[in-house]
Amino acid sequence: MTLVFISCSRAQNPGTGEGADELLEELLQKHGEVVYSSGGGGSAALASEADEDAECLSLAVSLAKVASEVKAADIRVLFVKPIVYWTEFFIILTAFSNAQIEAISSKMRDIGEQQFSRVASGDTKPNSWTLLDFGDVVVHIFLPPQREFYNLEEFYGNATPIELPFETQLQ
Amino acid sequence: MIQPQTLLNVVDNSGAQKLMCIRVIGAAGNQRYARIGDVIVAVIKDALPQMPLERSKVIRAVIVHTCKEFKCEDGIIIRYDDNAAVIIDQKGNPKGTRVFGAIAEELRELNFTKIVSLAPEVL
Repeated sequence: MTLVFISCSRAQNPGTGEGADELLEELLQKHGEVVYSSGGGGSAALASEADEDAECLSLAVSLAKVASEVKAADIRVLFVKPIVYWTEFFIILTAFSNAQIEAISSKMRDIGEQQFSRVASGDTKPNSWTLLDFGDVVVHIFLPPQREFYNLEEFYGNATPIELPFETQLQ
Repeated sequence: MIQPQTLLNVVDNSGAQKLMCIRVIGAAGNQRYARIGDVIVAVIKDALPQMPLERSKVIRAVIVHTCKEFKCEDGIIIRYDDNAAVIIDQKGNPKGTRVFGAIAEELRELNFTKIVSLAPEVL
């Protein structure tokens, strides 16, 4: 936002229409003086927001890669920030046993704590729908019947899917 | 302020419509009232036909709406027009697949992020 101060010695009546716009433009160029500009602060805020988004994206991709190494199926990373305000990324994946869910959860918690200094809240014991909440990234681990039952991909159908740099197993 | 005998609406698509609270989980000597985020034991008083949940079934539910105002830590006060709950199972998974209406974000801090993720709007 920029504020411009104009000082004129003689009052003028610009009227309306295109002539008025040209007259005002001329006055601004001749007598205008910038008194306030907030352009510098705005760009710094946008840059920090972009850095945070990049960190969250790298966390999401790392967690998805860990899940893929433990043979989780149908891993989807959704960018839900335009839809919900309380988080940025959803990771939805399918596991086939409680032991596999436990392995995925423990590896994800280790990655979050060691590499990104984030402690996950959520389910500590394996469940048919196990949820890990890293703040900006929320991980949903389903057993196959529950994934079909809750169908989160349909509910968040407007979210942008993120392409993963590795191959994922299809269910 | 939900206590035994309180009637609540159900804001999910599990099939139940009305609940009556019969116990507040964690209450000591019947002196505690349930508020948003508390788990209650309730009996189904009204249900849609041909659904998995039937009338007179005893289930657990988590309170999501209260007529008594709820004060958030950041100073915001939330007050709803009705008392409502979402039905959950013993492990905390919602019985329904979708939740209706606005849900308070405080449920996320109380480990009910699953309900928040099924909600169309979060306050």
